[in-house]
Amino acid sequence: MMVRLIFSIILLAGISLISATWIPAIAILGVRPDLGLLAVVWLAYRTGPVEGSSVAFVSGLVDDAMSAAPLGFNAAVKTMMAWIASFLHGSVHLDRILLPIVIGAGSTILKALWSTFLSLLFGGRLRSYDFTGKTLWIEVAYNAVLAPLFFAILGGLFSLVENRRRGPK
Amino acid sequence: MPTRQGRGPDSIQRFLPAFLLAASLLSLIISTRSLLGLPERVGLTITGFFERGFSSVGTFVEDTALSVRSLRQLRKDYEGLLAKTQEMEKIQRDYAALAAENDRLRAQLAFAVTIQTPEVPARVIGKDPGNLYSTITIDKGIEAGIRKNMPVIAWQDGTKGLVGRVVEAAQGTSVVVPLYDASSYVAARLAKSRFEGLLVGMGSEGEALGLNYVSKQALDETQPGDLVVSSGLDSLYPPNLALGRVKSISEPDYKTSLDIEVEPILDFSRIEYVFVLKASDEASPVIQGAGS
Repeated sequence: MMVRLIFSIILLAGISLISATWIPAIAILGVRPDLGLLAVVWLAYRTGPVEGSSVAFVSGLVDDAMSAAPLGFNAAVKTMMAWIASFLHGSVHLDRILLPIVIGAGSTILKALWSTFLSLLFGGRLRSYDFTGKTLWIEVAYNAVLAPLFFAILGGLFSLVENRRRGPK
Repeated sequence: MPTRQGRGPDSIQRFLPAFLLAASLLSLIISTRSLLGLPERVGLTITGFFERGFSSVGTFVEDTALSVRSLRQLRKDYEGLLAKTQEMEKIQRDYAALAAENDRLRAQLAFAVTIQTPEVPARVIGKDPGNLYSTITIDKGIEAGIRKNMPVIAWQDGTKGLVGRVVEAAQGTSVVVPLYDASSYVAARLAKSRFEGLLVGMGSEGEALGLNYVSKQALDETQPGDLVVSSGLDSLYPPNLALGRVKSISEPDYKTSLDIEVEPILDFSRIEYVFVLKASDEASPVIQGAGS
């Protein structure tokens, strides 16, 4: 578990860095996909609440360090998303296309709702999505479209790590 | 058949996510009261190091892939520029005559202003990882003399425009809030009519900026395409930095001021290099004049 946990943390930190440096190049109307969110949700689904929320918490702190968001904002958002996604762990079978699309879109909407709640809780000191603006809905669509491919890549990477740990049969 | 797990792992499963969430919220409580500047700076320094590395790799790959296309484009540009140079030579002669006339008029007014502002060139290495906050990370920090609230400018297509201001400076990295960020406010004025207003960001790179509190008297003297510059009244930004051009004007009946949409002068998605103006405490306008 520890090797997988460390691998997950390194992977998510890498995704955060890629999101800050390379992903802006593929923005649509200035809106970028939230690969960090997709990764956190997938990890929580795959590994359960303990690993999922731990990795999400660390990944959120890395995002907070790179962002203008107050320290703890991204950590709170990602930990909550991981926690919610972990309820799917062991109870839902993830297919290749349909469910990843639903999870990609659903997690983005839940993230927006949770950040709005946090913004209300902290008296407007935090930013929240405008539900009537285009930014949120472009991000929802972008995450939904990318989720099947991204989940497949993450699945491949994880299988690789787990197989190496087990060694050849 | 379900197996009974030990009490320890069960408790961890139940309480760890809640504990981590509580830790995040505690961080938020502290950081929104601005008590945690130091950990953020330390974090930015560490992540900035990796961000620079990733950005360099990305730039290398991109440059290599695009070099052939760039060469073809360069040749085309060269030929275009050659033609432009001849045109510019003519304009240069006219400009020299105008500059001489300007100097003569300044001398007659016995007044001259020279602004000496050191600039720190920096490269854009990253942007905010999320869509809610819109910051730009640059590869220069405290060691280059960059401090919080210093204005940042950029050149694009021969135009110098305001990018934003530094909100966090760490070793080797700084975070800049651009004009289009929802927390950005710049004291501005219409360059032609000299009416003042407050330029606010709308939070998205592709959206126009809003120029608020412009008197309705400015309606007759304002047209789409008019230049908007900084007024310098907010003591953060130097005056007369280009901000954008008027895109649309509306005069709501329920308001005492105009609603003006401003198209940013810079295309923020194309900014690669910026200059941080170290004007705040290390340089100030030098006013010279026989009469002063």
